[in-house]
Amino acid sequence: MVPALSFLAKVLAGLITAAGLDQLTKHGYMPQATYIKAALKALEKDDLDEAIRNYKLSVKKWRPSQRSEVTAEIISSAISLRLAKLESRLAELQAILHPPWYSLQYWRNLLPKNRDRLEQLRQEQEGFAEAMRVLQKLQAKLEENDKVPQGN
Amino acid sequence: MRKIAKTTAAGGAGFLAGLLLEKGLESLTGLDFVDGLFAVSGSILAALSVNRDLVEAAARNIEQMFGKDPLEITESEWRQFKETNPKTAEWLEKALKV
Repeated sequence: MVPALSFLAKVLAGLITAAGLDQLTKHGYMPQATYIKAALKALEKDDLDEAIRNYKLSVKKWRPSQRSEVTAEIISSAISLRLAKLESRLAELQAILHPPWYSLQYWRNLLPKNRDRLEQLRQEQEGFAEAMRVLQKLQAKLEENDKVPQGN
Repeated sequence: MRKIAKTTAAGGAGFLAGLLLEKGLESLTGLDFVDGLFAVSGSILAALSVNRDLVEAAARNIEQMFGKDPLEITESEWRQFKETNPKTAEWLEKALKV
């Protein structure tokens, strides 16, 4: 009661094809459009890491094309937009947390009833600063010089 | 009649064993070889639809940049976008035949 030999051969062929394709995909040998599409899909899902990884794969074995360059610019622009939003929020928080001594806000901050709220804002500020550092790292990673393409 | 029953039983057992083997291999290797076979045709389809994806991604960036639909941006906003994203703007102009 074992499966027919021809069936096993088909299973094996399918398995080898899948494993081969998996390795080709991992090492950047699939068509460039495959990686560009994956990068744009990841960007749509807000997964910047995955978007950059796929973009890097798209130029690992292939020469940069107009499409890959546009993709890099789109990813970079998406990161810049997020950085700008974070910067603006950080500036708002900075104005609340560290106002000049002659402002009303400075004296309001000294009131005990505002202590909890200020602590929350401080934590929010730290979180945003950390997010900015991550985004800056991602942007630097994206802008790293690509290796000289080996294929095509 | 006995022969038909025997053949059906053998076929059914073979099918089940094959199915178990397929699922077992998939769970062991984490690979779906049916998907693997389709990956080749998938990459061809990807090449065809990537242009549309680029336009959509650029449109999302424009929307986030100006807070409005790309169709509603003004001439000066477009120039501003073009300044910061020259390659994307050029691509869009070509793709949309502006």
